[in-house]
Amino acid sequence: MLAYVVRRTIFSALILLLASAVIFYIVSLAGDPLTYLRQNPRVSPEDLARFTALYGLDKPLWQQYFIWITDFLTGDMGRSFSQNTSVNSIVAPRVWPTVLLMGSSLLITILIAIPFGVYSALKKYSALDNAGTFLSFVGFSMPTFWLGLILQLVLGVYLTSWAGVRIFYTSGMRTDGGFVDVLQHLALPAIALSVISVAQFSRFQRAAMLDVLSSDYLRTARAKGLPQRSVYLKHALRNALMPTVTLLAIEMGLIFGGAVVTETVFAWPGLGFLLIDSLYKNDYNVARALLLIAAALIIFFNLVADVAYSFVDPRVSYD
Amino acid sequence: MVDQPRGMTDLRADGAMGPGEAAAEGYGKVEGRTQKQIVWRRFKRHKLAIAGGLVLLLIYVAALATPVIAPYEYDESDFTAINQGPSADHPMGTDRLGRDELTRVLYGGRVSLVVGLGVGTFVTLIGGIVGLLSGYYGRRVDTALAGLMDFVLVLPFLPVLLVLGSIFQFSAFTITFVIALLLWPRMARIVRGQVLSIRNQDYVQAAKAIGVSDVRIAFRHVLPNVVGIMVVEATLVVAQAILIETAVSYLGLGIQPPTPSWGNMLEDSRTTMTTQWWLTWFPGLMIVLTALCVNFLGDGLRDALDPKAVE
Repeated sequence: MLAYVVRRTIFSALILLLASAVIFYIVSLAGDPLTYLRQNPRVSPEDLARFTALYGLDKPLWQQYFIWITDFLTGDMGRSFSQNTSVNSIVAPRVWPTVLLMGSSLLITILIAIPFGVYSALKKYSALDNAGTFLSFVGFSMPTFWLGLILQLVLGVYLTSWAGVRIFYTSGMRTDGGFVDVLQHLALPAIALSVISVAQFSRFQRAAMLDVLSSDYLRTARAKGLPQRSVYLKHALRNALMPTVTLLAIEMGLIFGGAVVTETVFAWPGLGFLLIDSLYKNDYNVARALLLIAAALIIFFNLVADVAYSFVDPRVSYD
Repeated sequence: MVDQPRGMTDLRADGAMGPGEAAAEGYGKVEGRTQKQIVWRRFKRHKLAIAGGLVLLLIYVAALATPVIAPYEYDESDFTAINQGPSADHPMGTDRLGRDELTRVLYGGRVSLVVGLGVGTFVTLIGGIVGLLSGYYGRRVDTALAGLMDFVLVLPFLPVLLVLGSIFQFSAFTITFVIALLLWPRMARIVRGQVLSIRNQDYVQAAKAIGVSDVRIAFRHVLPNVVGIMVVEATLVVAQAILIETAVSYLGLGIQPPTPSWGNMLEDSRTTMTTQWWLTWFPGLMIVLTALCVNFLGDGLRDALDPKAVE
């Protein structure tokens, strides 16, 4: 067991290292990051040489990569190309808003999708289940960015003019605002981000529950004459939650890749919006750092899900 | 062992998540019908899939015939009719340059629809071949190819796509290609799993024993049993690709104006959203409608092609 965990961890670390090299290379395809300085006649050749040395651009690419990744491992993500600061100081303030947004979306998903999925499985093909199936198809087919625009239009603009007071804000987030103010800003992006995962997880939970409901040990439990409640809640639900929890762990890994679009639509000051911002500014060192963080999160949560699953499910072999 | 996100295919399964029973059992009860007839009969029962398929066909025909049926040119400005709401002349209204929105929705759809279909085709080809090879040959080939799939799957999909979009300006062709290169592993994984379970079936072993060549076994005995699941996955990929392309174009890193695409039209509508609602609603509704039709079609096909289904 321990050997399995260790092996998986080492393997994940190697994959991450490989991913870092690929990410570094992909971003380097952007070409010379100092082009805008070279084109500026007021920048002297000495200054240019200084900048080239500062960013280490005079070294061959493999050396640049080596320096970048060793710095990264010691917690230094490099220097920004567009601002005179470190990437660390640009990225740091963006972490909390993304965690807040993803956390609320996750909470909404769990609170709605799991009970509804279980209900749908227990009342298979009931009116509510069928409505859920249809709505989840609509959810799957909904582009998040457009849903965001519509929410801004309907719950932001129309509702405000109808009610006479502003209930939801359509963009941004104030750092000095109180709890209510944060909620007013958070509500719409959190809803936009949750729709697809609610659709996905409620269907997934339904399938998992149905799978358990048709199993032999559940028939045994019923045959023993156990009360319905105990059969469903103790025997069925606990087992049916397992795949969902695993999928949730994996979903966490997609944390800001998934939030790029929503954060941009709502100008939410998180990591996803920062990525788009850095691309518009050609600040490829920031983009590089964000890509690597994104890959690391995916790999880490995959590992967590994997290991957790092998712990929880005695049927999974780990050799 | 679960080490990757489950695709939507899994989510739709009605409690059929475990390994299946003998595959062809259900067919024994029906006499005198060919496989095709059985599949068609099952598909016909799925009303939403039929409707989805028909609407989708209509959308694709409209996209093909756009130069003929579009009432105006997509870059034709009529400065006497700027920012007009829907009317008889302009059923979807006009934008701030007096361009007819219906015409632009038609032209914009061509890009998204081509990207969707293109990605579906590429992913099926790459994923199908890689999955077949890796599942059939096993051992080292499998280790290498499965490693490659795992690797592509851990790359943060959308961020990588956006970075590439900002470095190279995407055309409809390049964005198709890049999305396909990032999306194929899930298809390969599904095909691989299916091939693995077929490879050890008696009829394949029998064919091997009498000396049938590998290529012939792959195409005659294995592939026909994988096609169903590939078709279903391909429809999901088409819908996914359309949503991805529109999102990337919306963020300004995909298809660039003046070529209209549903994504960049919506980006364009952003600033005037509160006054010119039609510019925000129509392209978006078209995306939803298209993706919804594809997903319904996929769902119908899944039910129809499922070998475990009982009449």
